[in-house]
Amino acid sequence: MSGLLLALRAPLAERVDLAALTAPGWQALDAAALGARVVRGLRSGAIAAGDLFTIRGAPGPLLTLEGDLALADHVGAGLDAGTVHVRGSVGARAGAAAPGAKRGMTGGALVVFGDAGPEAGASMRRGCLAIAGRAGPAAGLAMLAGTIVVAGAVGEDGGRFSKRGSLVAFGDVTIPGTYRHACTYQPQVLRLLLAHLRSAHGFAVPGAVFDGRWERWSGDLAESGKGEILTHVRPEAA
Amino acid sequence: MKVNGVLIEQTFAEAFTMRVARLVVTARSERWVRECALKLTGFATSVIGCKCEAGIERFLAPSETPDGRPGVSVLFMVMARDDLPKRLVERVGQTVLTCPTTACFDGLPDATDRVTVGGAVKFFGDGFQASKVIGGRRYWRIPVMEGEFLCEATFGMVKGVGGGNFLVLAESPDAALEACEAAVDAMDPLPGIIMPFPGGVVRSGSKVGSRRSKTMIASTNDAFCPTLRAITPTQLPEGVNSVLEIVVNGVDAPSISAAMRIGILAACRPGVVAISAGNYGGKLGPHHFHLRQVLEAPA
Repeated sequence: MSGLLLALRAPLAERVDLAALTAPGWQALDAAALGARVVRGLRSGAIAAGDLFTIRGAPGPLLTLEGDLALADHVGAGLDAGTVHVRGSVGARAGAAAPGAKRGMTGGALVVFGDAGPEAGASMRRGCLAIAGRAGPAAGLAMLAGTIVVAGAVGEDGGRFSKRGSLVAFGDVTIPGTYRHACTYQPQVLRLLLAHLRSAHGFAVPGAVFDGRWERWSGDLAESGKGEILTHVRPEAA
Repeated sequence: MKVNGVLIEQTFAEAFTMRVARLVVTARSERWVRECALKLTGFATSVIGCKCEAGIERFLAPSETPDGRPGVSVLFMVMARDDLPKRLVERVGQTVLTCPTTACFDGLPDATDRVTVGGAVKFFGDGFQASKVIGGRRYWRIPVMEGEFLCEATFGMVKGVGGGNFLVLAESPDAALEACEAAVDAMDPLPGIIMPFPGGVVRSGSKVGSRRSKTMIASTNDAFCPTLRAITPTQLPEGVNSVLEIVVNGVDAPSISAAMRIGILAACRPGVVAISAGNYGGKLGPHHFHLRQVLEAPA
């Protein structure tokens, strides 16, 4: 998969909102055009993306971000197609609705090979957000649909007010009180999804997880109850 | 032309353009893959009476399937493009949805012509169904008593070829059957083809129409029936007492040609007098497989 590679020039010194980076149309942009997109620093205000990142490669459906982006918020916000890989951690609201937007990701895949801050995938409508590390509080907040996969622990209030979204947790997760246990089973869709994450994105899925059983929790019952949290049943507990 | 002393008649098999779908069905174990495949492809020998023709293309190792489980590739063929969605929906709905542990995937994902299958079977979910898009392909999760049935929303449809065939003319029923068994065994591993009749073999080859009934679209091929040799314009050489036919459908003409070549070579064995083929004078089907050309083609 071809695309642009963005490497952080220097560690971030302030919180930066990267929502503009993946606004629709990014796949067609070359390095100069993407570098001209304006992102926002909490103190500095408008910053050209090219001032934060060195950008190389050719336009394509894959955008790769390298560096510690724990202070970068709204990474992948508004993503509607294509793939964004982040080789590091991200800040708040990755894949979530951008400021002023009603919906988060509406398509594509955002893969974070690190931790994600609070409210990852908030208001997602479609697409897949995969987090190789931990997810902060309120992951999948008010999801409309779509899928969030978290290999590490999920912070409190994961999946709150989700309508039809799926929150898939390999690790520890506290199930909100507004979710109700359904069953323990082996959803085939998860094997398919995890196989795809492995093969297409290099996302690590342990064999025990791939072949494992899952608890299904239905919710948020404060909403339609058509969403789900799927938690991996660890072999020792099986 | 003779192969191992068996006459290869100067004739051709006449075949038709058909619409093809390839289904990949996976299950928890090979046992349930096989159970499902047998039901899915059952009663699908000929479009004349079954509305579709289907067969097992090959069994798949876990490493070859989308979900990493044992699987099978099945080809479905119909004459008219509008028939394919009907046949697939009714068969997937009755034989794959119902079979424990199975999931159903499109085996022709690059085909631009799409047929809605999971998108119709989903209604069994009575509003509880949900979909996921994975890798750009939509899948429906249909809740069932066992857990969930996963079925791809749409399946690819391509043009294929149905009705490739050859006739084994033998001295005895045993010799004809043994030759056909050898042919089917040789053809079975080839990709892109199915042999939709029982064990790949047909004993009741047909001609178009009927002498007695205007409503019948096919009736016994009396020119090749040994018991009628004395009272019909027979096409049987001296010494032939039994004829069996192998019908082969495929995703394209080269696949059928290759399969016919390997099958005919395997069938040319002691007790076989000649190899012939079924055709309708060349006016009905656009694909003509001339036996001698098929055999002379490079392997």
